[in-house]
Amino acid sequence: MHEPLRITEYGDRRIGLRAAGEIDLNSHEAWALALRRVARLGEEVHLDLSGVAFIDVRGTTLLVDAAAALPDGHRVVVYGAPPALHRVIQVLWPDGTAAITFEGAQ
Amino acid sequence: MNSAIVLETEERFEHPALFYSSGDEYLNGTIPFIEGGLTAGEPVAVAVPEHNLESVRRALGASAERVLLVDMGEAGANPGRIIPSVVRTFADAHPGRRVRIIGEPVWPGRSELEYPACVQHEALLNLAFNGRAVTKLCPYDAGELGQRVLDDARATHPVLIDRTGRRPSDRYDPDRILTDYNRPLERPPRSAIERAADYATLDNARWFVTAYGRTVGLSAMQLIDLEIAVTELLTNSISHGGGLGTFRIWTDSRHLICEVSDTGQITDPLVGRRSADDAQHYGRGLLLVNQIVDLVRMHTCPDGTTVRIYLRLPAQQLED
Repeated sequence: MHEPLRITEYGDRRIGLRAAGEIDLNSHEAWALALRRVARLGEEVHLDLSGVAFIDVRGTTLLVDAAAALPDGHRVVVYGAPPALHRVIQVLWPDGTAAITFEGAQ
Repeated sequence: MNSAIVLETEERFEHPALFYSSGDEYLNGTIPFIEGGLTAGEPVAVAVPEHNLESVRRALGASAERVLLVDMGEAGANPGRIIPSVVRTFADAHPGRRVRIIGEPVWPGRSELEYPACVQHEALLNLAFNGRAVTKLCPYDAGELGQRVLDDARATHPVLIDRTGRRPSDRYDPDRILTDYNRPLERPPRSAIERAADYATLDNARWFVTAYGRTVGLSAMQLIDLEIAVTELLTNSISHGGGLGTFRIWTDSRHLICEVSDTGQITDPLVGRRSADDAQHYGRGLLLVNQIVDLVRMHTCPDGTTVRIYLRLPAQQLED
């Protein structure tokens, strides 16, 4: 039943990471670490979350804060966001999150 | 020296209750208040139940365009979300200016279940907006609401207005309300299913409540909200409430109900109502929970805390 969060970095032409599992208090540290590492890698970083079944408020906040801390002009492109991510952002950041772009499944 | 005193007066939170007994008294108490605000150049919002909103809109005529009109039955369905998403949102949108708001959170159609959350909301407004340049007038239907409700309004509002005039409330005591209404919740029925969750079983708990919600017919959107809300409550319990959250889930004729208990005590009366930036510990999760479920009830004491959430069952939504 218990599936730990798995995070792998892209090895191809795009910079980013792919996560699978569930992002909650069992995985906040790994998630925060991965976001910090990938944010430094380039102007546009890609997050493939199509394997993430759930993300909680803290996990969403870590992503929003990481994107907000990016230098001007940098952005995060999120693929396959779980419904909970959309819902939490809609409620807590109703004015949107400038540095995050959402795309469908990759 | 003088300027400091002036500042203090200007930045005071004003919170009168208006006891009305007829449609005319309602308009006599609200329309001059709204027009006075517009004349003074203050932003004005009116958040009242639909039927009163309509009569305010008609009475204002062309001025209605300059007022933010909000259906309280919708925006304030869960009283716990009125402070963060109605009052503070409006005040924050106009920094440096006094804003005027009419808010009617209690009306005769409020259920016994909702009422304690309504009166807690009224008491907490005084804490949340202390020292802010906000004037909030709260109409109460004195003809229809019972004596207890009107007595509580005298405790949550420092100033009372009725057809005889305006006077200070000699029974103003919001702390009395917070103490009186922080009481143990009614016991769950025997049909409630009880489980516990810690770090290792949080995902399992999420799976369990979602499966339960699907069985009783929640919509896809509600299932997501249930999953998020229960995760936040259990996360609070695991992180700040002794490492373990005990949850119970059941339905009544109108709602899916889920409560989470732990051994922690919440000491911040404004928990779940502060802005996301100010929220600490329990705060941001509960702020979100208030936004996505239909009602939140809470009891907290040195022995522990129980937070109970309600999601309306679909048949009920069709009837509304």
